Amino acid sequence: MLEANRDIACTLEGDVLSRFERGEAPPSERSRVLTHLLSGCGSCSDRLRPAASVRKFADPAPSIHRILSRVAEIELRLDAENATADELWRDFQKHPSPRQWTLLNNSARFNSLAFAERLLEAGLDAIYDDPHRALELNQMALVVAVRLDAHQYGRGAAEDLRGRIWARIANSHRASSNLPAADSALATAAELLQAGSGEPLAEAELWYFTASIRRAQRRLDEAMVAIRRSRRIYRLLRDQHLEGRSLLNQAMIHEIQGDLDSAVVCTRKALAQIDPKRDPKLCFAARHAFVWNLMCAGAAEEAQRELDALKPTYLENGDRMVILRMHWLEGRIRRLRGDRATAEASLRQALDGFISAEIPYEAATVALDLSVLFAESGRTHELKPLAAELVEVFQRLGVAREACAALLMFEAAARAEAVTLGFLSQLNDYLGRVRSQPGLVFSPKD
Amino acid sequence: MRHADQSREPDELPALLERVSPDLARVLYRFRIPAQDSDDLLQELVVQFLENRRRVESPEAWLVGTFKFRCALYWRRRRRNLVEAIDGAILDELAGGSPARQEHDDLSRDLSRAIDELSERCRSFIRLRYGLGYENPEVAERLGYSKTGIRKISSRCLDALTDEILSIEPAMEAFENA
Repeated sequence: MLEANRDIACTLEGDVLSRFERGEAPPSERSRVLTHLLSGCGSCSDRLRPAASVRKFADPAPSIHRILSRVAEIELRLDAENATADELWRDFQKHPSPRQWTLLNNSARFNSLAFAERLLEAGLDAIYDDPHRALELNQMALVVAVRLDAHQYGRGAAEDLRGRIWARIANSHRASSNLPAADSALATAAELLQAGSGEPLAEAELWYFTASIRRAQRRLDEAMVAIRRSRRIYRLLRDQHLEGRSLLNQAMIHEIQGDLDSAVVCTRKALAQIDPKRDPKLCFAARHAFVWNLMCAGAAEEAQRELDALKPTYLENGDRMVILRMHWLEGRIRRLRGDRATAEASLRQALDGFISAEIPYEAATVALDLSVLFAESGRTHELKPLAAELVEVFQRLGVAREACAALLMFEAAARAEAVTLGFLSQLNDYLGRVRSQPGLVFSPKD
Repeated sequence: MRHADQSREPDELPALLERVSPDLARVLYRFRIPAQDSDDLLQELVVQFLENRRRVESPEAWLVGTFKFRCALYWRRRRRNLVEAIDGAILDELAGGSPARQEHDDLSRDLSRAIDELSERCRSFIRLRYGLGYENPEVAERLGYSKTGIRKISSRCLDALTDEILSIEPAMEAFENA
């Protein structure tokens, strides 16, 4: 009885209510609808609460047949766009970077979502060896993305793409140790993706990069929340490989937190999930991290076995930096096993390599490992030339003033033969932090 | 590095959609998507899949997972439009949208009835917003909230007010007139 009365009282035309609901009603109509709703019209209130009022649900089968016929043309166009992008990309990669910029700036033939994807894929691949090149490739993708005709693609696709590119730009800045720029790019990415289509792979990747950036900023609780969110989405989408990548990131967060057992567990799981065919470099990084975590957790024998199994891959990889990292790892494992002579030889090889490659923080960290070895064997007099060498390298390479000052303190302590294992551990921790916080001052506690 | 999708057959799409159709139906049911909007949502999903196919490792899981995301987004956006429309209408009214004094008084009285049902915190927020015409930063300053805090409170209170307005029962005289 009441329902019937409520319907009789309704005097509002259906399209007025629809416009109001979509936020498209002009002010005069909005006011009419508000007055009407406040008068208690049940049928209009029910219409505006469709979640509660839906009685009939759609069976998607007939829709899918209709949709397939409607999207057939789009599929053909996208396939053709992909084929063209492959062809353009093959030629594009042959040119040096300045020529690539000229081509991009002067030709509209690169303006496609598929070509922007090629640039993004190349950018992600370059992040391991050359973060500056990765940044450049992502910036090229952005140039393409802002020129795309948004109407040519699905709703929100242009925002999604730009959001993903900004997230990759943020990650490239992180990898180049420019954390303020990474933070700002990350905020832009989040804003664009919020306005986008809600594509979950893009969202998962944003969380993944957020975790990496927060980890570098040592905001570890936030990093952990972000990485768990990214894992959850990858699991929902059944992408084991990318979930494995997130697990590896989680392991690094645990490692910085000092929770080495969890780091080993996460790396082990990551190794089981990462597909070496899909990303051999990531797989290699995971195997290296696994051995490193075993070593940090004190499992020297297992770490040595894993390293022996991995050695041919290090050598095959052939990259100088990778081989230096292998020597460093090997030196630390040998030290842990009590084999001081061979440990010293490996650490020396790594130190000389990092110095000649002008990579100061790695050189300093290896030198501290060597210092620990000297201190443990009572060879404190050998710390003096080592500290002096490091100070010279840091000053020559123009490393941040505060980091140089810390090494000068090390040199002074070495001269006074006052270096302790506690001091070395604090300096090691400081060097890990000062890379992401350039103004940080070293103030050792007694 | 290779992209996720390596082994695609050219006529894969119809078979794939056929396979996931029951799962998509379940998502439509679970999210209570009205029939008139389900076609558009499905079509947008398929186009989005075609655009992202290279990156997708498990097409079935991606289609169903993404559809859940999109259905949740559908309600969030509809809800936001509605809340903004009601908020805009109230602000118009209070700025003198309704010329007749009697109508304006009726509206204020009905609106007060809805506001009275809200929590104390929302009542304070709403009174400053609609009663004194304060913007969010001014309300934040007055009530001692942070910038992000006031955004959340504003959104929750406007949501709650919308719910109250939609659940108003007609007064008895309205039935008598009808």
